[in-house]
Amino acid sequence: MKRFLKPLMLLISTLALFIASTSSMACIFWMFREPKMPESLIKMD
Amino acid sequence: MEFPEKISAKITTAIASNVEDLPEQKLAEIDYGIAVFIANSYKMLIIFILAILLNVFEYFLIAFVSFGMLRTFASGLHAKREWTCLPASILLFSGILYFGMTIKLNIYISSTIFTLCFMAALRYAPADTEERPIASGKLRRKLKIMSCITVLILYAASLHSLGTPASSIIVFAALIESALILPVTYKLTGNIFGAGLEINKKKEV
Repeated sequence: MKRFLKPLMLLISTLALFIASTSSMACIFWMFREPKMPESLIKMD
Repeated sequence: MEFPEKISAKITTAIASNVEDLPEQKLAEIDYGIAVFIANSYKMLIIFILAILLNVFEYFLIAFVSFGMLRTFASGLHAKREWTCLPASILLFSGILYFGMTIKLNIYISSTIFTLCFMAALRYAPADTEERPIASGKLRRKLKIMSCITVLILYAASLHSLGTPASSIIVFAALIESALILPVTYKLTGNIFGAGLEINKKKEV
């Protein structure tokens, strides 16, 4: 079980980071409630 | 804390204990990504199933894509609470479908509505929220240009199918999304307009 757990967690982390970074640049989830975005994802010039 | 955040916090804790050397900042971003996914996917599934059951899936898809294309760049108002967003979204899409399927719009009305949408996008897009502020000037300009281009694409699509329910649905989807980026809509719903601009101002001071 532990053998599969780490790759699974890595996969979830990668997908979550992809969603988070895309969401910081455009409104990818079109209609629903937005959870609070962490400050590290706020783009600055 | 709403339930998607509760679940995402549990998953993030599991990730932190299984994957070593993840800094706090990355964990916060992972937590946010999971929360965004959970908060949206189950509601999207419910609305898609509802559209299939009501036998309006094709028209719903036109409304969903038209609304979503513009929303991707123009952003706009979001529901503040978990329990209000699903009924609000169902109401919003029901309205677009009802008016789109019952009201046949001519070229003059369509053109007038799209002119208003274009002006709204040019003036107010991207309309961010307190939860997801857009502070970067470069990103704001890019999103504004993309919003205006999207309005023009939707206008062309509605003209292409003029006289059909699909055309009216595209017009109403663009109209509703444009209404959601107006400062007056933010004010009426007790939200703060231009959260990203405020961050920019604070940085300059």
